Amino acid sequence: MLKYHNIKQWTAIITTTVFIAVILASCTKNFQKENASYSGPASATLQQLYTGIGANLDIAADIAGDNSSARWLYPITQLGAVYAASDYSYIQGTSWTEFYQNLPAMNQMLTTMKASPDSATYINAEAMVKVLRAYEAIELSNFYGDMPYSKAGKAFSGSTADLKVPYDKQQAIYLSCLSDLAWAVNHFTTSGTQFSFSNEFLLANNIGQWKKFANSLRLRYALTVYDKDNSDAGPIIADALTKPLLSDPVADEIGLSQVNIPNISFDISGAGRDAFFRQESRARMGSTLWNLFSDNNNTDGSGIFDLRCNIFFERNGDTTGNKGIGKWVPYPQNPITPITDGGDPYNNQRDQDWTTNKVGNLYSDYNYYWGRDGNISGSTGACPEIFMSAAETDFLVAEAYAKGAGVAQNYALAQTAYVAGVTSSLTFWKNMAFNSSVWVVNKPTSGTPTSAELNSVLTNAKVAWNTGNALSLIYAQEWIDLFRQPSVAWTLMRRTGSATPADAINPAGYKQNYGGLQRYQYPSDESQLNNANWQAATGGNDLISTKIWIAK
Amino acid sequence: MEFSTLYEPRNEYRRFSKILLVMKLTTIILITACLHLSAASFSQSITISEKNVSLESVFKKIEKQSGYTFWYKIDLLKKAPKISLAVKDATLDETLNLCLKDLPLTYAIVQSTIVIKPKAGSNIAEVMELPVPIKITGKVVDDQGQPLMGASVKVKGTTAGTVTDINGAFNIDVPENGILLVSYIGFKSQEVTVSGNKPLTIILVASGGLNEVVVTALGIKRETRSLGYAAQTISGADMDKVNPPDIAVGLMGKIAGLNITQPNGVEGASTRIVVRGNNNLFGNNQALVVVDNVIIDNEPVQPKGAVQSFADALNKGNTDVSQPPVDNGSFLNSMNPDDIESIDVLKGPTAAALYGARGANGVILIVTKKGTKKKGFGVDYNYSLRINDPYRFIQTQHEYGNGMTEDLYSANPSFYQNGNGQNREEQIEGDPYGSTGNIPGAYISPGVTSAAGGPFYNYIGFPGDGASWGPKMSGQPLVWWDGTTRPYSPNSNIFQSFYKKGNTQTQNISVSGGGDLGTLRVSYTRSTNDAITYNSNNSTNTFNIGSSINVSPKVKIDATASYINLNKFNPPNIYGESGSSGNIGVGYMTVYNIPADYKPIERGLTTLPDGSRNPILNQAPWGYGQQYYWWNTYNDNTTLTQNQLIGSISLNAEITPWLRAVGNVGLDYYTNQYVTQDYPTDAAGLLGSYGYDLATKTTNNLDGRLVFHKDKLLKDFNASFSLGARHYYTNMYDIASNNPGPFNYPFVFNLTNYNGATPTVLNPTENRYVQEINSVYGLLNLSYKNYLFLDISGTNDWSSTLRPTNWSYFYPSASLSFVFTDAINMSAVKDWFSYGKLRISEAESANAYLPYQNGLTYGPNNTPGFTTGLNLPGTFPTNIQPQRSRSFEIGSDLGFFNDRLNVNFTYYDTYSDNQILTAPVSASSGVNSVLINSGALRNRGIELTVAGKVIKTSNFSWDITVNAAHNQNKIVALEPGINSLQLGSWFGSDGVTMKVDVGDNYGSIYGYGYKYAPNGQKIVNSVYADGYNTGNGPVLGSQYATSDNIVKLGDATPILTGGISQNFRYKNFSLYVLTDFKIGGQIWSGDYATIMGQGLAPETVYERDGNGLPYTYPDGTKANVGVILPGVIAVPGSSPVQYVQNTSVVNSWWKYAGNYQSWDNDPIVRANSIFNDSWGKLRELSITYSLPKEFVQQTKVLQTLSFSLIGRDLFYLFTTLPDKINPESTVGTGNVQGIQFGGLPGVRSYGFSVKAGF
Repeated sequence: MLKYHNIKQWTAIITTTVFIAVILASCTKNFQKENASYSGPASATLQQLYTGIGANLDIAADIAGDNSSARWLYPITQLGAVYAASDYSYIQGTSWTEFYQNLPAMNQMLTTMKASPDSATYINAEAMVKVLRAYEAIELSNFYGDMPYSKAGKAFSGSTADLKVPYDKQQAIYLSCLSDLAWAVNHFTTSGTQFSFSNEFLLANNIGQWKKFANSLRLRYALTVYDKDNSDAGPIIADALTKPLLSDPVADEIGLSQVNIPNISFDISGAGRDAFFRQESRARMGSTLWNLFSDNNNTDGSGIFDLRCNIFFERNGDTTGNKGIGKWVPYPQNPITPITDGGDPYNNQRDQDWTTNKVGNLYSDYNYYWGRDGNISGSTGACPEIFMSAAETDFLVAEAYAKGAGVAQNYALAQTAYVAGVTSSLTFWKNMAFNSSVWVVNKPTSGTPTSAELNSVLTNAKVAWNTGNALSLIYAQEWIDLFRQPSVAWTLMRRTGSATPADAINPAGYKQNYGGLQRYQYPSDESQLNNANWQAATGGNDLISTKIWIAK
Repeated sequence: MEFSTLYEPRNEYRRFSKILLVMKLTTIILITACLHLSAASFSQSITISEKNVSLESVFKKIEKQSGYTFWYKIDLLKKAPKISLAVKDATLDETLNLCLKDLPLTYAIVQSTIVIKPKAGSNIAEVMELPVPIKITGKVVDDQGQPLMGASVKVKGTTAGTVTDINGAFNIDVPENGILLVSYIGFKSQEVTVSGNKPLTIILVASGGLNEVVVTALGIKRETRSLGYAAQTISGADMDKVNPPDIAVGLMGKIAGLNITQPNGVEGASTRIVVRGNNNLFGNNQALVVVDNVIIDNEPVQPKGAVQSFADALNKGNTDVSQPPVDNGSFLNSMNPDDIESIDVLKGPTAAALYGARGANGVILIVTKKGTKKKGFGVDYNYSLRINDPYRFIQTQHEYGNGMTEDLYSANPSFYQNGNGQNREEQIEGDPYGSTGNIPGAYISPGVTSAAGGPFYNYIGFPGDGASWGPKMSGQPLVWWDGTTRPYSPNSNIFQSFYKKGNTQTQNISVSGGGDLGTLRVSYTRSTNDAITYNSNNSTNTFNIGSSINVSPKVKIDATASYINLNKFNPPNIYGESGSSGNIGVGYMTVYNIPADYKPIERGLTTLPDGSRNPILNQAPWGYGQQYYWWNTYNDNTTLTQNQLIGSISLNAEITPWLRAVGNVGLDYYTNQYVTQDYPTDAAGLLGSYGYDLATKTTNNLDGRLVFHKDKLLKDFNASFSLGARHYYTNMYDIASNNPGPFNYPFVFNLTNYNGATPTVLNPTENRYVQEINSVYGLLNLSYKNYLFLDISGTNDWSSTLRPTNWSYFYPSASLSFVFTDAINMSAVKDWFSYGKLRISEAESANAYLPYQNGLTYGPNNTPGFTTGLNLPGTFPTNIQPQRSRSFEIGSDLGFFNDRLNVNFTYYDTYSDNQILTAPVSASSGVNSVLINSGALRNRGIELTVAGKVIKTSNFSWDITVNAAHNQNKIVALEPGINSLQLGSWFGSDGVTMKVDVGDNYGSIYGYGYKYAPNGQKIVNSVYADGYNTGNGPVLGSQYATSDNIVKLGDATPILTGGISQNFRYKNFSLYVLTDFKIGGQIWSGDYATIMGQGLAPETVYERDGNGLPYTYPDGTKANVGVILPGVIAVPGSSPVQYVQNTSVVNSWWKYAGNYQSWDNDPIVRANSIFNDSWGKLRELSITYSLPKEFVQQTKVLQTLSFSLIGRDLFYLFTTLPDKINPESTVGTGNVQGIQFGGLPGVRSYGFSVKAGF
């Protein structure tokens, strides 16, 4: 039996033992709570993933589309000129990164929806995701050619095999995506029982427009590969032409817009329109596009017949040189000897003082408002980050009929589509400038082109329909309309074997500077971290001069 | 499986208060229990129920219950038969009478001692008559006369014994002519024969360096002889001898194998402390700091609660060390050196096994002062003043001023002209990139050139504005940017105007005393530092209380508390290109943007009379923000206020003679508050900004253990076994918000005073960091005859940062110490070989991971318009296991000539595998990285310490200690399929990177090297008007071709590090000298690359001064400024490529600008700026005069007084870097230690200190 003094002695022993035991007993009690991440949730809803996908599409459109790649794609496509090569290297990693971040999210969404007991209610959502996946995959493939696709984005399986992804041929990517697009076109439904995203960033759940968008993309991509794989592409073109296509010049402009995305930024992380249209871009109006806007080189602009000239570009600001102030002076697209230019035409100070920073600027610039559109606080009516336009769709239809691609050649239908395309383009761009709240100087007075303005273009010898020259005309006008989508214009240029407009002066100069640029190199993590597959795809020669499969 | 369902989301945050409660309760319970224990000791109510037991064991029970001590001859009891006894609540007399009932023995009680003696008349009376004990009082002191508390005093041949009190005093009953055995840990035991009863003073002599006491893991004091691993102790006084700015700096060069670096040597900057090399591929490789049992967070203090090692571990080697953040220092910067009693460095996992995870990198154990009894008032006062003098500046040329390619068109370069046609100073922002910023080639007429050849930055990247390729300076009148005409002339030291002499002052007052209850020391220290840069200073107030309390003879409590209040005003920004607020880095700016003709005029033009920023600064050159350097220096103010409380209570209770309970409670609590006020730049007071950032961090340590110990467990064997548990919990929370302006109300610094367009910018950010580790451990110590010692430990940790299947893990350790000189008869060599010990140990440790990494975290989106979206996690976490380290160590401690010469040697081999790392994977997999266990590192090395008392006489002595260490840190394996991982870079992949490659040393430096032709010659690229090697037209320039891939340029691992300290004493004068050194280890010098490329280095003027080859400028003028880059060129158009000797004479500009500097846009040969970075330094010097005690004490007030002249970092004995580039200016304290950039001037400091005792 324990005695009193013993009890006291043992008190300390027991206390210490209890203390140790308490630590042991509670040793893992709060661990999971303590280690749970506070910076973000451990799961995501369909809506959250969908919005996240939209964010990455926006980043790709903004940073990759407007910034670094635009510095190169404008002179490559001759949609504009630069007076010295960009300091930014000819690389494009943003679209790659954003796509491969989206791909597993898209796949996870599709899996979740398919596995849901009420999967039938997710048909529209499934179709939207498939359309976006196809759009993003093919546009990315047009930068790089072959790339990881069918086995990509599967790291969350936990299998180490999925960390190193084999490359798919560009053709396989196209066919897979075209099949997804067909599924979407055939399954979009207006049934009231469908799940819908409460924030649908692209088209605000307008299923009719989604269907048109998906079908128009089919036309774009099937025509893109038609010359390489007409047996697959032909039936798709034929089918697409029987289904709804984008048609309204304004309402059917598909892209990331202020209308559907309140608070959208067009200058994410200091990159985007505002960043591109700065001194570093050295961007000027090139002679190639000028030649399609003006009948002559009169610097007073008396030869301009296309209203888009005033929207895309502005006059120079030279006060001392021999070219005169306020003149239309295109920068030679491919100067024989390099010519520099001065002034600071894209300086934000021009909001307050229109002229000072133009001093010393010899050549016509991109319209100042392209840098400011959507980037001034509270601005409305900004040009969206365009995915696809009604005008482009019209030109694709015109091309199909003019070429007899998938359908019988039919110049009449081609001409109708061509005229519709030009009209649509003129309407869109004029409306865009009219609606943009930042546009002040040289703002159009109405949002729709007058018939005189339309006729001025449609009847001009450089534009007027001509069966003998149909494809050139179609490609030229499509190319102009792709003014804010230089990457799509680049694809058009490559798939048509450079049938898009090009300046006739000094083609050798163009060839030397830009002719070798056929694709982007894969991001360096591919050669470093996915080397075996990268080797298999490139043979160790990941060259920017290698033509991708779609290129002629 | 969906990972999203694995864990519940965090929903509450009440952990902290709960832990505090547990801590409080535990402390109260332990103290209460022990107080009861001591009260029980004097009870006279005895209860015993025993059968057939020895008399001795019954006496022991009585002793325990009564508090009385028995006194008897052992032999007397040995003859007594066994007895049986049953008493309940009996008195002492009753009990004793029953015990001795049938025996020939009787007793007498003398005070609290029971004397057992034979009964009168018994037959053993004659021989066994015991002398009556006499009471002896005495005192045990050391050879300095300081009392030794806790010394053991025993009577030889009996069980009687006691322990000295706070004054070293004891009293004990001893028979006449009895022998006292006095022992104390760390001192030689002594036997004293008692004669008479006069008070004794027993002086114990320290047992020498080889038997010193070290504090080991968990605060356990051990004699060095018993340790099977290397541990080194340094006293606080030795660390603090020359008033180091902080403890880490005070340890530099003093401990073998301890590598301490302080980037740029700026006072107040954080330090990197690595023991025996890096054990982690990524993340924290620094030693653990423990102060009085409190595990301290020594991470660099960063805004927004950022944790550097956390960031380093997770960012997959993407750290760009060209732009590290402002260094705000770390804990060791604010810990007051004056309060340190001793510092023990436990090297490697063996020593630190008990600290588990974080101890794997070695442990710095700091023990603070607890006070001693002193003569006089017990007050000590120290004052020291050091002047910090920036004296060693990078050398530059003084002949050619500002200019870039515009000066390469003619032998008679012209100046730029302003609007009035006057020559102006060049390098107005944009000059190099403007109309004449092209490589000369298609010269048209002066001032008019074409772009042929292309912009130079396509070949060499972007130079800084310090580019000094301009015309020769000969006093030509030039209009400066402020409109004033000044001569174009050299500046003898272009960097000097940015620095000034700083100073550091420390005042410390402490009161220390002791009594029967214990000791107490209270101190206050104020330390101030005025930096060597302008408008930057800091001050620290430290209040420290340390005490050791004897609650009862068997219960002792050590308690310490420090309150540290640190105020840092504008910590210098060394590197940043531009701070988010505040300034551009001064090191970066000076080395990169200041040309040879620099005139320091901005400072005087900074502010208008109305207080606003002078708009004329807009016209100043240097477009990276330097034009506002002085405005920012004086108007953008950041104040970091740190309030820290560190408290520790350590309780030690002797429950029974064989059981001790030990409890430690430690708390480290601090708040870091950053207030940033950027004074408005406009007169109206609206264009300012304001930021507030508050971090709160709590770290709790609880440790409790039971120690079962038994001397003479078996014959000659002593044993102790400890069983304990430990709890470590750390919790950081930070909230920060910034008002970027414009303000609504002028000059009001308030977060809500915002009048801008985006109110969301005011949204605060939050950061957290929570981690918990619980452990149980067992520790067995066995010793045989005090010369063979075996320690075995086992620990099991539970860490909150792993998944449940892996969060429990075990690791053992074992060590053996063998003092062979005591075991083997070595009398033959005893004259010179006095002490020898072998030690051997093997240990394992395991390291869990960082918080928040084991599950999936979906990424919230910041993209405007999509802010409700989520992205999939960028990292896929596998179910990681803890990282493991195994360490083997063998060594010897040898003493010669009666310990006049001591040699300690250690060889170690540490293998760290199962590394946890965030391995990058290609983005096409859907993630950027996976968290995996992969890879292994091995550290092998030797450490040597030799300490000698060269001369030792009463008037003169000379001691010398040399320590040296070599460590080899190899990468054994990485993730399968990956042979290389990046640690960090300087300007990305075209710059210089540090990588770990399988088979390489940790810390290899990579960059582009030369490309070689088949014959081994360097290949030169010829620059033509239309590009490289086209063969079209004349050769405009030459540049070395770069290797196809980046190659290894160097290895930052030093071959040998160490220090030599010497103490000379002559009477009351002493001289102390410490030199330390680093031999080997390469560095890539960004400073050298920059000044060479910019034409600032003295080396670059050789050809410009006419010593080059004849060269014709584009305008036809000629000068001897040409060079031919030695090497071969490819014959244009040849296939297969043919190489011929390069014979093109080009402007010498190409040799320097073309081959040294480049930012991240052009690959360039980086091999030119690699150096072997060896140096030796006079680190510490002091001359001290201690006034004679007799003299001082005549004042009746003073007890001691000494004066010292002190000097720190006085000069380099040797360095291998050229142009006086700072050899200790490695960038930051992270794992990238082979890159130098933005070095500050070398700073020496000198001053004096006074120490007075009252």
